[in-house]
Amino acid sequence: MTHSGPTRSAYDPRRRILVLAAVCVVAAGGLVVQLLRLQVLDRERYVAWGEDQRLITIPLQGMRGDILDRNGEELAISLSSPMIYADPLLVLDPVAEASALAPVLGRDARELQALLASAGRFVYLERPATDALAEEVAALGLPGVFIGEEPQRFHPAGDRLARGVLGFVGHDSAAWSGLEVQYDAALAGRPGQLVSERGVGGRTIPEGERELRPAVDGADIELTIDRALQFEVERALGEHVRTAGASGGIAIISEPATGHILAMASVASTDDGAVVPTSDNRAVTWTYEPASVMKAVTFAAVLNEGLATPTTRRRVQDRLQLYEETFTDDELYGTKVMTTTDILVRSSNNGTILWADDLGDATLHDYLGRFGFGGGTGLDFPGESPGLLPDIESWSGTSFATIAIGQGIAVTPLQMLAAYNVLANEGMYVSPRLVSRIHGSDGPIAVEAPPARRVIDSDAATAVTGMLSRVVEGGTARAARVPGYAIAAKTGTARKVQESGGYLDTEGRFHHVATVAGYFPAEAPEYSMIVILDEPTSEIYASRVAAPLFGELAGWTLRHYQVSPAADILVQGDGRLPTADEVASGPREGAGG
Amino acid sequence: MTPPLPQAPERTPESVAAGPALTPVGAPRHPLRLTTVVMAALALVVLFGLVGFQALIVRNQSTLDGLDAEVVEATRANQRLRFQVAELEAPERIRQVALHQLGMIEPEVVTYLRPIPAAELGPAPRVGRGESS
Repeated sequence: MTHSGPTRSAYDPRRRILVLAAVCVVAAGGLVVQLLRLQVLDRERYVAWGEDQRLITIPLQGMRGDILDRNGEELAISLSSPMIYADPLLVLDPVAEASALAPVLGRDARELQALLASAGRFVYLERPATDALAEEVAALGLPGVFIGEEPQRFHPAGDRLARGVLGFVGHDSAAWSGLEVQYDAALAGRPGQLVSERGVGGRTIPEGERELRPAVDGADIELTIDRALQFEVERALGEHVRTAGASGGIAIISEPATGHILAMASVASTDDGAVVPTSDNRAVTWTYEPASVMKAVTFAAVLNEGLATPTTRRRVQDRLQLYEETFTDDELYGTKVMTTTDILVRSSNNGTILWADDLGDATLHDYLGRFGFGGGTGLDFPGESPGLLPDIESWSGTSFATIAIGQGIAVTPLQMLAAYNVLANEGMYVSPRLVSRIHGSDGPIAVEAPPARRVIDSDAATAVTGMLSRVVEGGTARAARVPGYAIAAKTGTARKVQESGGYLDTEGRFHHVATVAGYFPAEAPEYSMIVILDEPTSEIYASRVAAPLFGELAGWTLRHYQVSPAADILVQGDGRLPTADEVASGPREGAGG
Repeated sequence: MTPPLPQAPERTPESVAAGPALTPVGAPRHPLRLTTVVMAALALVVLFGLVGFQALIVRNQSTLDGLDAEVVEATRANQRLRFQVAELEAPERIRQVALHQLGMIEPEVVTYLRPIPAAELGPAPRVGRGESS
């Protein structure tokens, strides 16, 4: 007989317990092994993985420093601006998202689609964007499309004001030109970063890891430029360039005593007839033959060498033969006895050449170098030209003659102004400057300037100032007069060298450059100026096209800085100002005058 | 003379069989249970304290985050306002407003008021100062 039911051993609970225990042991062993792997063997990897998930690194932008004018007015500042970008990996439907973005961004949908479907994890869609555009894109709620921020350079007084001087900053705060490049090391901020532990929803985990390396903002640069004067100079220069039908113009106003440049403008005519400031600072990068404005420098050398005084007379002919070249004056007068002052007032080429001949090649060359021609001004502006003063060894028999009257030598407008500043400064050369202070995190730092150096004696400089005042009172620069003020200035009308190397263009025409350089008030110069009109067509002579601009800007400058007119009778014998009745009834006894 | 000592009860067979007279006392209090309760209460208080402290830290951190965000926003607003002020003060804008909104007329010729040179003045009055007329 067989037993059909289960055997006793099949239901043995001890066996089940043993199996269960074995399973538990194996499971526990697995857990232990896993724990060992997590906590001991692969600990570093998992710690790093966890930190990667929790730790967030936020880059902190160091803002680029401001560029301010001499009164602290902002000329260039940096602000955070929105930009729109995408992470293609997170874009779910490039076609649909591109179609949604295209009308908002005003871009081609296929072009956007290509960007959204591209490899990599970052593409710019709009840079920079306006606040309104950023809000509009954010409202679309497109996956993988984000709004970020980045610093952008702004010019509150307009992008055109002092454009060539300030220069340009591109994307990623990269400086491209002008002072932005020259002072990039000081202006550029230093980026920092914040590392912190973030939990769900991006909230900072309290007591979590936090490491802050603060960003450092760039230093602010304080210029010598006066924003109001710069604006007026650009406005008036543009107007006169337009009126004169010129291809462009340059104007600089400075303080001779300090070398501070108060305004520096360069404009050019466009093909559509508009006159706009140039992006290139032609006041320091452009060179030209200055013509008769150089005569003041020649006579400064003559007077300083003691060869003549302002009243020394000399017989001058209107035609002068030197080797194979014939030099002529504009006015035909045969032979005339002229003082050195007369020669300057009438801007006689031949009179100047005669005195330059007495000076000699080497002495003239030496003086030109001491006045700053053929070398740097000390401004070190990016792209600044040293001009061209030919080596004395390369001078021909007529070089002294042409160079003495401003031909055969190339100068920048700033070099010529710096030379006139020597005359205004009683013979001292003061390097021109555009930056007065740098405001860093450690407080303001004065920018060092090269030391002033003597070029000619003060007596010679004062004598030339008197001669230049006569040029404005009754000479070629009469249109530069400002009622009530003594102005010292000289005009120069130069023929412009063409690409062929000669003065005639392919159509057989001359092109001219009209210049007036000078300073005021002549008795105690506070301001100096050079104005240049390039290729004027309505008139070619500086006395007609450039001198009126000089007078207009000189008047504006004197009013702007509230310089009193010459007051020879204002101060009475007892040191007080006269009453209105006294002025009306005539001078008192002992009144100055 | 010392007083006589009290006499012990006389031991009888009945008294020996009945044993000594016992006095009932209360059950003894368990000191371990009290300590446990106190410790548990203390632990609860500490736990609540820790939770409360953590909540405070979290709240403060949240406030700090909020303040940081406010600082960033205020800095940005300050920058934008500074930019706006600079734009409003721009010479070009002021000139345009003066010309087109406020009716400024630019003079074609600037007239300078200047002192009259001594040579151009007439002779001084003949009557001397201090002389009665």
